[in-house]
Amino acid sequence: MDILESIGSGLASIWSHKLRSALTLFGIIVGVAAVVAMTSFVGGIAGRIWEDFDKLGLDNVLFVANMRPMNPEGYAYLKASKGLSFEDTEILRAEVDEILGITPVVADYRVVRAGSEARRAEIFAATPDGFFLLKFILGQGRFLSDLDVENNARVAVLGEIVKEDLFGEADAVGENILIGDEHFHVVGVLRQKDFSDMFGGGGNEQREEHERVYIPITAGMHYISGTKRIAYFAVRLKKDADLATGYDKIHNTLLREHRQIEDFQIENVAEEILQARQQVQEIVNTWNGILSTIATVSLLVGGIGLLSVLIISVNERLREIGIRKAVGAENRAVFQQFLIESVTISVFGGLVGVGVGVGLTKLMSFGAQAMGQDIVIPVSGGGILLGLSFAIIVGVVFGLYPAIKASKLDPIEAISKHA
Amino acid sequence: MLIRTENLTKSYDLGAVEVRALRGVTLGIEEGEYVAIMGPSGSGKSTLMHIIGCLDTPSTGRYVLNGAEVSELKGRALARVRNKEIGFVFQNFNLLPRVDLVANVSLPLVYHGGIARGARREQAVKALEAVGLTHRLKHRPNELSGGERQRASIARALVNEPSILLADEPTGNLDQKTGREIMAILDELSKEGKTVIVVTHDSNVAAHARRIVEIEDGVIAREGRA
Repeated sequence: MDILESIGSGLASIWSHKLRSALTLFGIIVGVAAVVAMTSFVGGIAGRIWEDFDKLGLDNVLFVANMRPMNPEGYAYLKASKGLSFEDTEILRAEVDEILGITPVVADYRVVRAGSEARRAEIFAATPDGFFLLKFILGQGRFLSDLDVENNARVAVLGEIVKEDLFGEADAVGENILIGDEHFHVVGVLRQKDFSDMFGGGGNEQREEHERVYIPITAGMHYISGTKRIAYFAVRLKKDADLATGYDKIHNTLLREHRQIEDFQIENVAEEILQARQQVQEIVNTWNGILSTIATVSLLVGGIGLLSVLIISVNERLREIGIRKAVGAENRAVFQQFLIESVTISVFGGLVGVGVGVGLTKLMSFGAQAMGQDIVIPVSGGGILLGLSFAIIVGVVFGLYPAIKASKLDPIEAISKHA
Repeated sequence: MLIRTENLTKSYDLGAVEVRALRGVTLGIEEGEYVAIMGPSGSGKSTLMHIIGCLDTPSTGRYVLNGAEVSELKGRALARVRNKEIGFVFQNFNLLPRVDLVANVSLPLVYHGGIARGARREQAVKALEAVGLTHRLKHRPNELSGGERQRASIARALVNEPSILLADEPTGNLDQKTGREIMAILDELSKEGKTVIVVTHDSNVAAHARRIVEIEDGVIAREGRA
């Protein structure tokens, strides 16, 4: 028996018993549709959240800030340590392998003016590394450069909110601003990251970044703080670095440099992000669990339906089986024919299920957009593959017994049945 | 000798009773012979036909077909002998209802293996032409008369060019006129040199053969020239 003929025979048996096939296939269709739709849904939503996390740019980021020691002894010795310094960043960069990049930050609030517009803003003085460390996106102009730092250049990059407040729709790059009483030249404007609504549009982190004015660290020390004291460091660890090890090394190195006086604290943002990611992952896992339960139950139901229909089909076709055997069909050929028929029926159901699943996914996407959510749920190719594999497995597993039953029939008995 | 059986017996174990359908049949049939196996129902003639047709195996005794010992064969090997050596014609035609005549007739070629689809169709069409069904190739069995169906089943029996044509009550479901037409085809095949064995309880049908073997109570009761 040709495989093609067996497939044809399977399709013919679907066609000749339309209602029965529809009832049989219902479970398989629902199961496969559930797999496709849920995989797309969970994958789409989760994918979007992971993207937001990446945009946030705080993975593997630590902040080291100045802090007055809590204990009296430490307080007593405070004068023995100079606090966070530019040199500390050089030492950390050299000694801690886990560090990908580090920038000292001098930060203070000033009134910023442009023409007749003015607002208060955080003046964030850092090295050019800071921009890539925190994964800022450039809107117009350029970032700060090493040359700017070397030359104490009075140049500034504006957060998008500051830019809008001071310049509205007009171009800011090339214009001059006043920070306090000092003139600065605008060389660039940041662009806000495009977070999804699920992520609260990026939240406060996003606002903070864009309510700042960024200037070279040297200009910051010279014109803004007036001292060499650093407010904090922003550190990014390497992607595959162990967070705890990196944290400890930074802590220990700084302690040594500060004569064992803990006049700094490390804010472990990376750890918080990691935990937030894990929470999302747990939700995704829960959804995946629900998804697999629905899929398993409906495929089981579908499989049992398929099994009963195949048994009926074998009984209806005893004569056919007898004839085939009488003209020389081996058991194996009969087995193969019925198994292929079973898989044909289940794959047919699977394909319909994929269609329904894709439809459901589009509907969910449409529904989310209708409710004002800025989400497109992509149809998951993996989900389609998974759904179809389930259908094939159901066809094989539940077709096995009827196929064996058919193949083992005695041709004389089978042929004498008047079915 | 094409067919040689020695002391064939067949018993069925039906729980409490053991039914002895064949009780020692020794029979020889030469190539090209036209033989009728006769007997009332329950005589064991059907069992004998099933064993000769390799649909069943004897309980004891030997069966040599075309020089090969087939009484020892099982499952797969038996299926192969059926496919290559035997062409069955059944009382109730036994055609597949859902496919056309070409597909029905090419069925033995499908299980022969190694014959391409096109070649199978070609041979099936030729076999159908030989029994005068050229105009019915695309028809399904239920669109045909009884006589046409039986001619189609003869075409199927011959398509593999088997050593033996084994007809079980070939006219049983047909009216007299059509029955005579079918017997005429078998006569013609015999004349062409085919070995034809007809199993029947009808002496008019048996009369077409050149030799009649009568089975009663599981043994050969009489044997003679028609």
